[in-house]
This record gives sequence, structure tokens and C-alpha cells, in this order.
Amino acid sequence: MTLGNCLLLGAILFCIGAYGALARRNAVGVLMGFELILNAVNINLVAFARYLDPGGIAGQMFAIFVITIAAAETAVGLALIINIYRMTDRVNVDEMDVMKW
Amino acid sequence: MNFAFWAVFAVIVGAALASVLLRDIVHCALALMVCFLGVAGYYVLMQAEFLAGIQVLIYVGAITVLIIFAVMLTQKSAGRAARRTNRQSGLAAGAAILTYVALVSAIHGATSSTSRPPAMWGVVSAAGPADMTRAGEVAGVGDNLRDQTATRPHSTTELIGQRFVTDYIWPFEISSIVLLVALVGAIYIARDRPAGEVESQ
Repeated sequence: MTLGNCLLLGAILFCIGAYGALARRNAVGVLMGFELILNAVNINLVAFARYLDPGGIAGQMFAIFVITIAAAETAVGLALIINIYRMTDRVNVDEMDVMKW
Repeated sequence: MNFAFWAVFAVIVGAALASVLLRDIVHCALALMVCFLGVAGYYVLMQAEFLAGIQVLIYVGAITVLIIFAVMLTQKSAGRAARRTNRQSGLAAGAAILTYVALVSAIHGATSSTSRPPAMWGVVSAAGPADMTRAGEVAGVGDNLRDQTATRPHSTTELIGQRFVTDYIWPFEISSIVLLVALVGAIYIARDRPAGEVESQ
């Protein structure tokens, strides 16, 4: 359990999330990829706070703000998806090519 | 401790892969919940108890439930999609693997470089919680921080609460406004409009 292992975990989670955000067809799946990416960021922040800043908690404070923004982003994103579904009966990102009906 | 870390590692990576690769979006959401729980366990291992609680409350409790609600509201097309991925999935996989290789080489270069500051990577990463104060001395951490580590080695909640109302008061207030705006905006966007209003837009 060293800093390198924690950063490796963050890197793996980031890449899995990036693949999900780029490759999913369902818009909800894209949002789930974003959540994985934000969790990877938090893993890195907490690892740096633990190993490079002993006694300090600046990394954990930043992680809390990241979680706050992630919650707001998810709420707005899912509201947009529900609205798009109401208008077009579809939530596939490769079929969304207009912004107004 | 090491075994716990690798167990959490395996849970996080496996659940994240499942949440990206499974076909049914409901299964993906459930795998995502397992992944968030694994991250909460990682926070406990990193001695960030408050963050672990926040992770369970917000991610497992709120965000996953929100995602499952959205999946259920868009079920007609979401449940049985013909294809899981869009046309650029090969490109996305290549980009993700390239990013992974770049990140791992950067991490390896940073953690095994000979020109590293000795206290930053080698000593601190090898030291357990008992050696934290000594590592802090080597790294030149100030006296007040060392005292906090000595008196409260295992409780970060009190420290976080103090920081929220002193150093981080403005980010705290601004993030509360961001949450309020996001709440109002989400309700406005997702509200059920009368049929005529949609036609007139």
C-alpha cells in the first residue's frame, strides 16, 4: 500500500471511466463514466493528502468539493436526459444531433 | 493492511469494468454502486473516515439512486438497446489504453526517479501512521500541523469542520450556491411541460 499503488488505482479507474464516457451509446452510461472519472480524481487527491501532506487535510477538502460538484453535475445531466427522452423517445448519444426542436 | 488494499483494489476495478462493459444499463448502475462502496473502503484505508461517510451518503445513497431513477424513466429505449457502444468504441478503447500507458509511465517515473526529494516519496510512502510525525519533520511540516497529528491521529472530521468555517469559508458558501442553482435548474429542465408549450418552442 504505497503511493504508487494508489496512483495506479486512480489511473486504472480514470481510464475505465474515460472509455465508458466515450464509448457508451446510452446517455446515462456516459454520465456513469463521468462519475468513475471523478472518483479516480478523488482517489488521487486522498492518496496525496495521506502520503505527501501528513497531518494536513487539504486533499480531503478538495475531494469534498469534487463530490459536491459531481452531485450537482449528475442532477443537471439526468434532468437533461429525461427532457431529451420526453421530446424524442431516445437517450442514445449518437442520435442527438440537434439542440432544439 | 496490504491484503485489504488489494482486495479493495480488485473490487473497485472489477466493478468499474462491469459498469462500463455490461449490456443492461440497470446492471451497470448496480455495478457502479459496488464500485462506489469499494472507493469508500479505500477512503477508510487512507484514514479519511469523513470522506468515506460522505461517499456512502452521496454516491451510494443519492447519485446511484438518481441514476437508477433516470434509467427507469427512460426504460423504453434504455433496457434493451440494440447496441451497447457507439461507432467510436474502438477509438475510445485505444485512447483509454494510451492514456493508461502514459499515466503509468509517468507514475513509475515519478516514484522511482533518483532525483526525488528523499522525504517525499520513499520515506513517507513506506512509513505507517506511527511514523507520520517523524516524516512530517523530515518534510519540514510546521509545528501546529505536527501537534494536530500527534493529538488527533485518527479523526479528520473535526479538522475538516474547523477548516470549513475558517480557511475554506468562501468555497463552502459558493458550493452551497452552486448546489442551489443546480437544484433549481434540474427541476426547471426536467419539469413536465404542457403539450402546447413544447410545440411552441
